[in-house]
Amino acid sequence: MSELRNNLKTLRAERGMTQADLATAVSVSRKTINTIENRVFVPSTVLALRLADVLHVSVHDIFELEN
Amino acid sequence: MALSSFQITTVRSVSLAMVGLCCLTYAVLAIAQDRPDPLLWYVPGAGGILASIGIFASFALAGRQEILQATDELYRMVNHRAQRHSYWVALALYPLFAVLRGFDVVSVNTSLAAMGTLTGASYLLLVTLYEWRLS
Repeated sequence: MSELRNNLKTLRAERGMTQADLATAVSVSRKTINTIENRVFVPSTVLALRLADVLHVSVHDIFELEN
Repeated sequence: MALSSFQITTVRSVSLAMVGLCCLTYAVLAIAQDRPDPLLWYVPGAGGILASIGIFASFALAGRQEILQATDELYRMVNHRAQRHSYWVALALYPLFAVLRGFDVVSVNTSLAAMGTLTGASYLLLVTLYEWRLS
């Protein structure tokens, strides 16, 4: 089965945002951002789209299937 | 005074954990003493009411953004997981207490008191545990 890989940490760091900044921007807790980055939690489509919007990238730039 | 999402989340977790421990203590004491009222009978219920007042007050003191953050999809997922698992714990209490009744370890009244408080404790402690594990 394919695993969902993400580049959220890299993209966030490139924009100089902390987990708390990004969490506030998309109205979730910092813990949610942390668990997404550590691949513990898979976000909903709505949250993925909001993250992409805040980071000014496509959802595919953040998330990709691993094999 | 506006509370942050971290503060209201902490109030919620601590409140739920304390009520869960209160229910668990009540159930353990009830079984150990084989009596349905090892403490004042209203202690678990009063604890629940106090916790709900504390949680409601903390959310009332927070802004809309903080409330959204504290009740985001990760929390809802954790909450649903705890509900699913505590449902099975509650069902498992029936055969467990049937065995205890079969060996005459506890009376019917004690069983009802213990099962009721353990059902509540299972959800309250599981939701706290799952939330803290993600911290």
